[in-house]
Amino acid sequence: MSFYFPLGLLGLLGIPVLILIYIIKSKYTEQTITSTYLWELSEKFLKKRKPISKLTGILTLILQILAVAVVSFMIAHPVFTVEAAATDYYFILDGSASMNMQQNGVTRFERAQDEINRIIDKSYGGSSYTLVLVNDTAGIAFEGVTDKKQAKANVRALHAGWTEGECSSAMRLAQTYFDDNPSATIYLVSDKSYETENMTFIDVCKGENNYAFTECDYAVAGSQVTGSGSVISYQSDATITVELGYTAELGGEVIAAGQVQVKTEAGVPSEFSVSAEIPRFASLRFYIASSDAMQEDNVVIRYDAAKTQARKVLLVSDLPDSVYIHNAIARAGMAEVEVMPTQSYDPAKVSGYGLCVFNGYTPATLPQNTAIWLIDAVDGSGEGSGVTFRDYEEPRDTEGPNSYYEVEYVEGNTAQEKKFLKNITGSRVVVRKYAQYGIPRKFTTVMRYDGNALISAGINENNDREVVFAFRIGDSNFGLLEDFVILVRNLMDYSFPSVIDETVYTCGDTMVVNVVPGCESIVVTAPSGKSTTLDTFGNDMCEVQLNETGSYSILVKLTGNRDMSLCSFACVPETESRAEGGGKLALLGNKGSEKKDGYYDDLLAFFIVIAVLLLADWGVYCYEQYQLR
Amino acid sequence: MGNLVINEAFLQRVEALQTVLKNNIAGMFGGNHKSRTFGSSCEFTDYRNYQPGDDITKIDWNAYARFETLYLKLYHDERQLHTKIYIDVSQSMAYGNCKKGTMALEIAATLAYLSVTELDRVSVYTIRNSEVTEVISSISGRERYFAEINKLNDVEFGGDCFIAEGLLPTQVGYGDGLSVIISDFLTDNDYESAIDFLADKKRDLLCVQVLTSEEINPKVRGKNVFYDSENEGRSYRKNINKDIIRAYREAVQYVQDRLRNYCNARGAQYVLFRDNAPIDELFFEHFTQLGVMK
Repeated sequence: MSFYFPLGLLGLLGIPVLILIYIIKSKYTEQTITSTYLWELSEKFLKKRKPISKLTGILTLILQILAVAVVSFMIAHPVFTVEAAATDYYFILDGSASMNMQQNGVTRFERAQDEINRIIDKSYGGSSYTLVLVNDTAGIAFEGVTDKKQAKANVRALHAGWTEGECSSAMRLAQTYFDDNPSATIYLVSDKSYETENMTFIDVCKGENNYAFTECDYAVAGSQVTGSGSVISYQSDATITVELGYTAELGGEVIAAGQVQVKTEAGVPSEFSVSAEIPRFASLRFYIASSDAMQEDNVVIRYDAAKTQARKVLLVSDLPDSVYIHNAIARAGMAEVEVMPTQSYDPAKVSGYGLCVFNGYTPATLPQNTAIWLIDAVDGSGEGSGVTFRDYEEPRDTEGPNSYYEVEYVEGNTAQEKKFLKNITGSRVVVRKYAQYGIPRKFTTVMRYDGNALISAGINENNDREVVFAFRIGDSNFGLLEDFVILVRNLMDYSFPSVIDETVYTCGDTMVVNVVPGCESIVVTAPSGKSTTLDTFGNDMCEVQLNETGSYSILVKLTGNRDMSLCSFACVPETESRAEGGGKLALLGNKGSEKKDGYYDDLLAFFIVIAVLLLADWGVYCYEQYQLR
Repeated sequence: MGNLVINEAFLQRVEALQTVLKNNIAGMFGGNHKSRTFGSSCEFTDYRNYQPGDDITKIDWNAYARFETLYLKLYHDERQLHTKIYIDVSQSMAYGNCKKGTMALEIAATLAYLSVTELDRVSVYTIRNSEVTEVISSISGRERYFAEINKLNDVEFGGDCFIAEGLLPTQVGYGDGLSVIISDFLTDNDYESAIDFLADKKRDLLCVQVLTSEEINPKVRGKNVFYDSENEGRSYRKNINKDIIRAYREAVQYVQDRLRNYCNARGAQYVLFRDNAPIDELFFEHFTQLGVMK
């Protein structure tokens, strides 16, 4: 046993003082009474006292001495060493959306926090606590905390997310901890059903009933809006009330439009359809009115899709292969294309076009505030493109396998690459000749050969969207392929961007916010009210991770004090609404049994003892003062 | 003492009471107590045959006319008795704030008044150490009572009390009335002989034990040294706790029981009276319930 504050033991000096006071105070009081006869006679009736009863005279003194001693010890704060009692605790805590389900006002996540804090409370001092929180990814919330209070506060500060979460994603971390210390105690706390090995599983699921939408869409016919989809009750048969509401303007008051009762069997989606006369709406709100364990998956908001702007394209070309480009842009890109010979091109007269395509022609100055396509149109004289010409690369042979270059697509890892390669079949593309360009770092490459970007896109020096082809369509087979049309359509979507491509997402998804021409800033506000200003400078798009469920608002500030407001909605992932999953999670290796020396420094026992002593002292005082009379 | 207050209103109420005596065989003529013997009062009792030498004025001539036999009319005899009140005036009766002495004097004064209203004679004695002193000597009649009763205010308390040693040498009479001993009886000294002595003299005996509330149920606790007011050489040194208090209460009960039982065995009456109780309670409750008065 040791002490945090040994000087506190000086309080024991109070004991001799107490005894001195007792001796001084305990003098006999002398008084003359009428007769001592009765007192002397009482000696005959005095029963023989038990030896222990002789202590009762000094019981108060004993209690007070004990109280002083205990208080001194409390001030000194003793620490008791307990051999082989402490260990390292690791908690893998499921923080996925389903942990937000609640029963009697307590969520599964709060139950999990209580369980963890209870384990921390029971553990001996000297133990350490580490917690891995599993949301969309597994991350260390805190590591190696040795202070119980701090650990408990850290646990209490955690919140469940609204994304999908899979505890298996934390197994790499858990395995590392287990390898480092096989004697560690590892807990997996989740609402999903897991079989575990070398760790203890704590199930916080109480079988709460939950309703949710599995599908939700609408159709408009004149002023008649029909909402349809399906709802599900995961635990039991139920009759679910689905309400349809709308707002006339974004952020406006929700107006009830209709409702329908849907009978469902447990775990089986049931379709519903509800129609209403809605002359104009900015959003449609589908809502399950029946109460359940999680309200957040009972609502889906569909926002009116952004209107497609008119697409007007100027194609500057003298080359015969421009026919491929013209047709692809006009048909697949759904654009109105005006073809202009290079001699007629005058940058001063180019206006009103959303896209200027230069095919085999390098303008002296690029037009501004319009998207640009440069198809073999960079030779070093064009200003503002950001692309530098190096040299042409031509094949060694005129025929045979060395007479062309086989081009490859990029892997499509990023969101922008995925957008460019959307629906691309991957047909073989060869080119006979291409130019080596130096392209800006922020450009996204779509097709390449030998490390050279053959098709790339990005924001040019004029802050306009730009697509660069390093080869002529006529020098390849690309113009004849279906993928050319598909790619042109994707590039047209890129060149005529809408702010957001979709209005309904699932929590955990990444929302792509396009930086539209004339955009000065974009602010995204999450359902919790947290606003984020996106980095639009030099970027053609920004990505927003949707980690909250509910409506996100997007405010786009355009030049000329024009603002554009949009909204999107993030649903609770269906897997989380269902709250199913789990499986077998095992930590490889043999469980150890070595433990560290722990310590016990809780003063609660002292508080109880001092309370008992003071209570006993008070009781003795009362007994002597009142009860005997 | 000098603090005896005669409450005349209370005395008037007490007049309604009458002393009940058992040994009324003696006494002087002219009293108010009926005797077992036949006498010359107005209250007819019985007839008996005439015997030569009887007073012919008491022959019932109407009876003779009817039965032609001489019958003598007999009447109750009424005697004047002598009430003797003995007051313990030892130090223990009046030490400090103790009111036992005052209460004893008030009881004595009231009993004396009750006796004179019954046409009896009354004497009041004090007992200090072994000495019995007559304070009021054989008075009768209210006028004498009110003239003499103030002598009780001159009574001084002090010393010890040896009841038997004081009483035995005195003339107490024979079957001629009530003897009352008023004391706390908190003594080892012999009082039983005095009770026996009075019982032998066919006197009705009433022992009134006067105790304070503190003596009956002491509130003192802790370490104490008690000195006896009658004898400073006697002391009691103890840490008064629950056990001692319990033993003390048993001692109090023992003293009461011993005196009560001794009195009962000899046809005497015993009454315990607390000094803080109203004196009405003693006369109208204790004495009447006990049959000492009616």
